[in-house]
Amino acid sequence: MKQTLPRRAALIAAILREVEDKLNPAKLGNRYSHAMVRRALSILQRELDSEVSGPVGLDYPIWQYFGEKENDANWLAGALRRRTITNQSHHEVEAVLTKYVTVKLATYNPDFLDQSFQE
Amino acid sequence: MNSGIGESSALPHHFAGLSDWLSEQSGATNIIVNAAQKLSGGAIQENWLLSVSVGQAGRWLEAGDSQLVLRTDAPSSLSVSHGRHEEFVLMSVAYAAGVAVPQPFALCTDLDIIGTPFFIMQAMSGEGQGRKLARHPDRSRFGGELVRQLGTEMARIHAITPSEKALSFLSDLPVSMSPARHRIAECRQGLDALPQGHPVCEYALNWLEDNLAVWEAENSALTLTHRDFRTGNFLVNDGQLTAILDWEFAGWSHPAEDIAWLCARCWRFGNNSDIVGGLAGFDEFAAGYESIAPNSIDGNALPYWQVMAELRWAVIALHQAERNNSGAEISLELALSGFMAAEMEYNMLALIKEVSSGAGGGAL
Repeated sequence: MKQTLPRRAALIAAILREVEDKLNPAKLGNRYSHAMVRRALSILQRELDSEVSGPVGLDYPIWQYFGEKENDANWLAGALRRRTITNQSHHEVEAVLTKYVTVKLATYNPDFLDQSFQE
Repeated sequence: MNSGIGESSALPHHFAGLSDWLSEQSGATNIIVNAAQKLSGGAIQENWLLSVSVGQAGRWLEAGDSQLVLRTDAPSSLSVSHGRHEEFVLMSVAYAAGVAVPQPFALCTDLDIIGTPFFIMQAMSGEGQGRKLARHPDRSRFGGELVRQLGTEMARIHAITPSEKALSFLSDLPVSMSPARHRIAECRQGLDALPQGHPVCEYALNWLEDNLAVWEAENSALTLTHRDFRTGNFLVNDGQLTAILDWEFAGWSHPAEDIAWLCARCWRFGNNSDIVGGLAGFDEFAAGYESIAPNSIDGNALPYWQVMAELRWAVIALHQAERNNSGAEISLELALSGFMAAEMEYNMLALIKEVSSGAGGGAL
């Protein structure tokens, strides 16, 4: 994702503020649970891990199928809106999108994916 | 509401003028607001549980100790949600129609009292947290009856029509546009306001547009719809429904929009086989609904409105994340919301695949 860096910075800011609130006696009972902070940290950890393993964006199923790295999620969203890409022009587009979503879930929410496949 | 206690109970400084205002509004005298506890939930609005003691009873305040709920704006209200005045009127109309809502008592638009518009309503008991309800150890015992009650209450809401003069301010739906077309336009507008493209949402919007003939129900009469009727927005006490909350998104629409929102997979909290809010199956809900409005559930429209429900929640979640990411409001909850959008995208694609394979005729 091209917006990863600002998003990560914002996530870190939110986590730090949350931890700060948790340590502040005047803000006892803050609505966010420790479980939520743990989830945020695990998301952050996965982002850092993926950075170590290489600069591969999560939209690679899209650009791999459409042939150019410029043909990313942003590009496909625009092409779908303009209907220059449709089910008729690209029969596999739904399968490509499913793969794209599955990669995102595998990165950020594997529990959801496990649960869905069990049904 | 009573979905959990949040911040500490010392009376906030800006609530200092509440006692006099409550006295003026209720006619009760010698009112002291002893404590105010911010209730959990409500990223858009704030609910405060007020503990008050009353010397002499008034119109809606009894003498002695009692509790009230004050509802006001959170720091980051959404432009698409109603203000407190409109929500107060909506709840008043629903209450008069026999819908299970907290009785709304008094509205204040004077910013001199606590700094923001607010209203006072009845304090109701019950569990409101969706995840706790869906995972309640006795859910199998009370779930069926609960969703039957949900069906009954939703049908009562849908019995309110645009002829209700008090709701004339609900004019957000263009006359020439069906609710389905309007929602598609809203979602596209929502996506346009985001910095990144979201191809799954675009794909689902195209699919919904291409199948409008099946689900837009142009000839169907518009009804009042809650538009956030889901597990997490009602209170349950000992397995019984006590109150429908959070009316800030209500508007005129097709009844299937509400039913599909309640049945959306993103609101089942992991209990995917219990279609109605992760609580129980659809038959019980339909029995309750049709006890008030016989033969009125449009089963063909439901899977499409379910896709729309996933889409709408995905767009909201992405916007919530953007509020954090842009620095406008640093919040962990908002930051994490954006990561949930992929779940809704997965659900959209799965539903589209199921309908394309011939499934349908009811909620999926």
